[in-house]
Amino acid sequence: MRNTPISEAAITGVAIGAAQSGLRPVLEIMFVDFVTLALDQLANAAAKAHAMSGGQLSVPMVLRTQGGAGQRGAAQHSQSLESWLTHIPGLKVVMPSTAADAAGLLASAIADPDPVVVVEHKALYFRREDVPETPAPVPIGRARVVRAGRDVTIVALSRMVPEALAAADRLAGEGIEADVVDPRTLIPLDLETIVASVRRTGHLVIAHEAVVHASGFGAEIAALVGQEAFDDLDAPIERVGAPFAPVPFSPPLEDAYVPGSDDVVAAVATTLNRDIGRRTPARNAQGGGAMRKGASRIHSALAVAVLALTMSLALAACGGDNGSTSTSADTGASTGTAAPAETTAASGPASKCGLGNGEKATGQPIKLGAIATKQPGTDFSEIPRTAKAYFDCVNDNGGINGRPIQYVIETDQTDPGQVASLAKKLIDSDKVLGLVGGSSLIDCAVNHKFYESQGYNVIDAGIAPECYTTSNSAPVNMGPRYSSDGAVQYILKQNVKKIVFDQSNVPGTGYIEAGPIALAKDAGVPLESIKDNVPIQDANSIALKLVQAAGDDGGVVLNFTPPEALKILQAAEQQGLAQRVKWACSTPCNTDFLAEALGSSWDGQLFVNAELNLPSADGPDSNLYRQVLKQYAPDIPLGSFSQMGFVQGRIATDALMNMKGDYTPETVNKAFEDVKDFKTDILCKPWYYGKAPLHIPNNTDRTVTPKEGKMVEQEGCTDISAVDPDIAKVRKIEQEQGIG
Amino acid sequence: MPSWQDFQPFIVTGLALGGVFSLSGVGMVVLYRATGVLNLAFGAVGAMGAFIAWSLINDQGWPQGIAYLACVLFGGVVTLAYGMAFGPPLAGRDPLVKAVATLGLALILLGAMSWIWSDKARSMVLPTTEHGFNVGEVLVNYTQVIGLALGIAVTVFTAAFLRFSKLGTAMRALADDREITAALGVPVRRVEAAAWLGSGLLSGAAGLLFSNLVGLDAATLTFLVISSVAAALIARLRSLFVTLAAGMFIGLVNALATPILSISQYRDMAPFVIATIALLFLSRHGTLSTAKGAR
Repeated sequence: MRNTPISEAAITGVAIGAAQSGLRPVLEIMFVDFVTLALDQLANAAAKAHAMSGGQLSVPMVLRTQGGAGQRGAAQHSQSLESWLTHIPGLKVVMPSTAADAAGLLASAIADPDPVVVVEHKALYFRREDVPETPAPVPIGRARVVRAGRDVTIVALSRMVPEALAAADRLAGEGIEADVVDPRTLIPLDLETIVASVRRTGHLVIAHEAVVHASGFGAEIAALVGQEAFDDLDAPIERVGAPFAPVPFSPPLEDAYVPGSDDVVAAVATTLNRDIGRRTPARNAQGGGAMRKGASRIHSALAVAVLALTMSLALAACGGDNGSTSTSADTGASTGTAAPAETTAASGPASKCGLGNGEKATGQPIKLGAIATKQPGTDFSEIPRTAKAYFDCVNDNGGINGRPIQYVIETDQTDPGQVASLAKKLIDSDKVLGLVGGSSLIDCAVNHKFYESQGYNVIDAGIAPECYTTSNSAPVNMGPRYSSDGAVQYILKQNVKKIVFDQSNVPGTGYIEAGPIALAKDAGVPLESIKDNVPIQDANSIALKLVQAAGDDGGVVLNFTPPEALKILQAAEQQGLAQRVKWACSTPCNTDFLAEALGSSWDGQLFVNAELNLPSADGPDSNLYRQVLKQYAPDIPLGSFSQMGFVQGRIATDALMNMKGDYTPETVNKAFEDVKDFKTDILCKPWYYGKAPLHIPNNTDRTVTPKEGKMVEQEGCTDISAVDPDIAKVRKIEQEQGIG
Repeated sequence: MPSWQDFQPFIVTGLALGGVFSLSGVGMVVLYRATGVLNLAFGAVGAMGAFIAWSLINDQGWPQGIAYLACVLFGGVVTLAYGMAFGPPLAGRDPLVKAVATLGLALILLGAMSWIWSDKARSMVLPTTEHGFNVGEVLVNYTQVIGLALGIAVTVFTAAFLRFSKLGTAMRALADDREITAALGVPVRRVEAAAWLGSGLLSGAAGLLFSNLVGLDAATLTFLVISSVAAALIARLRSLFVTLAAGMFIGLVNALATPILSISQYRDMAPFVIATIALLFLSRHGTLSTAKGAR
């Protein structure tokens, strides 16, 4: 402890020297007002030494001083000048508001390697507070949340901390909870704590005793918060501080000059009152604020509740949808007619799976494979999965003369590269002996040459033209063209004067429309072929267009997926156009789901080509089909998809059982090719493969119509007209090979 | 070329569809003006709402009215949740980024819809569709009337709301300059939330009407927003009344092109051809929206 002459510059200069030579001096400047006299030493020597010496010098010095008004000290002994000091890089500035902080910050300041200015408040010296025996050091640069609240943040410095707490107590009485933050250190400032609080409350009041306007430290805090948390502020930041005037000596004037808890309360009221929607006068503002905050909390709780409700509804809806398999039928070239087995299944005798001996096949497996498209909106995997269900049944009943079928199903997402490599994988790596049960949007188009080169005779459910027009693919279904032929053929029998054929505007329409055009031309009825972009966005207009184009006594034939066809049919009904023309549809419309969605007004008004028998039909294969699904794949709905899979499985099994010798790719594919006169009640005519440049073995079909939410048979098996040149070719081949 | 008689019913379908285009366009313009976000998920949100309503009616056996309400509410809640979660962090980014972010929401919803409902044929017929009246030879159903009337009503109401209410004033201020508005004490977040919620409710209502006028199909309803975007673009994302007129015009052109079979196939281009012509015209002649009142 050294007593010095009253020369602030000298005291500071000596302290800097002492600090640079290894001591840790604490110098005291009695009033912050006279730090002015030491500013040169402080700003130019102490603050700069470290940086200007390239880090060789450090000044671990503490300058302790006090400021503030309220003690009748007059203008020269009452100022708050901390913001002069915070503007000097190299100085740290702390302002304790409690006795414990004063001791703790002083300890940290002494330990700090840089010059630290500790600015105390003279009014706080007279407060009584409990302090631990050995006060813990308070880290420099760490703020303290003195009181937690959710409605407004009050950042208070030094003496304003107790004032802010008093204000908070009063506000709490009116339902406003204030978060009071004491930064304790101005440089470096703990902005994080302040911003975190503002993000919670959305409102900020800054209180210090220094002059508020023209560069009070509150301006800096406000600017930083504005930068960091602008979006979180619901109202402009309010600042509390002294007016821009010297501190008066007159006690009443000084009392008026010094900011206190009243000013903090008023500032809080102002910031809360700035919120839109609050129109109460300032004095009542706090009460109103509480109500508003309460209301907003209720609103957010409501929003959460509604969100939770809607989500649970969505899930419930989803669950319900999954649960009701009887109402599902997917989009595709062909779609399933769904009927619950219990209600409609006929009880006649059923065929057997394979040998039907009930013995598990244990021999060396025979490998078969399939590729099916499975992607959002298009899932054909039910087809091979039903084939697998049938194979499982065969394997449980003696297999292929004791050998089980091992079945590999691959799914594609209409990526040509992927489909090509899947085919190679199945044949080259998996070494499947045959391909059966597949149904891919692009497999035939991409791989038909590969299958040809490998000598594989594929049995499939076809969509692309290549499935019907190439030598190594034979589908069990009829596909869009021949099924459109069937629909046109039926509607021609209704003596329409004109036909409008409408299909989705996708690649391949030219191939499809060729059939209907040939048929209409042959019948001498004009046919207009129209394409509409899918998804259909203006079904009303399209329905009108079709009906107008068909004219009186005309017919409209649709070739769309069920959802698109449904849009048009429904729009027609809503506009009273259902009865104006005759309506027909290619095979995709053959689904109970559509029948149900259309409602009874279309019963007997819409004629749909059906490439397979009704899933609920009575017949040995139909009965077995339902039994197999029930036992081996209860999750797959009854419908034409699963029927196709079943038929393919049966054809392949039949061919494998009848062949002789080793099972090799050559012998198996020869056996497939040799299939001739395969009879099943699911198809109108016996199915065959044979050696031919094209295969349309399913060329005789039925017509169905909706009735009370289900599809029922309207016309029995009828040959697709050989006016379609492709069908003509097939009939010729059939004749030559003695089939059919 | 079809006769005048043949065109008449297309005017009805065109106006009905146009009304809902306008309704969606107005919902998008309001949101854009308050938040700077062009909400491309507008259609997807409405679509999902409609699907939920469908499931509530068909699987859960809820009364229709409550299911429709759930559809509209769903639109509001999802849009609001998106706005609350993604609005603030994206507030400072440019409009393209904000628009693309909403495309993300659209695709997520679209994926969720195909996952939950797959694309089976469904239909939802509002009770208003089953009743109608004849204008000359043309049958008009009440859903079509509602589509047109709601389009007009929402436009008028929204314009009045923006002009005369405190919240509307705040939205307009926000559209002008977000930072200054915030500095003046407008609770930006809350005003934006109101805009998101309002726009979301409109998306739910539009989804419900579209599912009826167009069909209940996820992809269709999601991408139908494109026509509404075109209407909003013609209005330069500012004027509500121009949006209304543009929506109607697009609906009409689309419908009237349908019976002319030679161009019928290309009518889906109509929104963009119209928008392109309008924007070319605008770039030469300043603005279509002389009505300052709607701003």
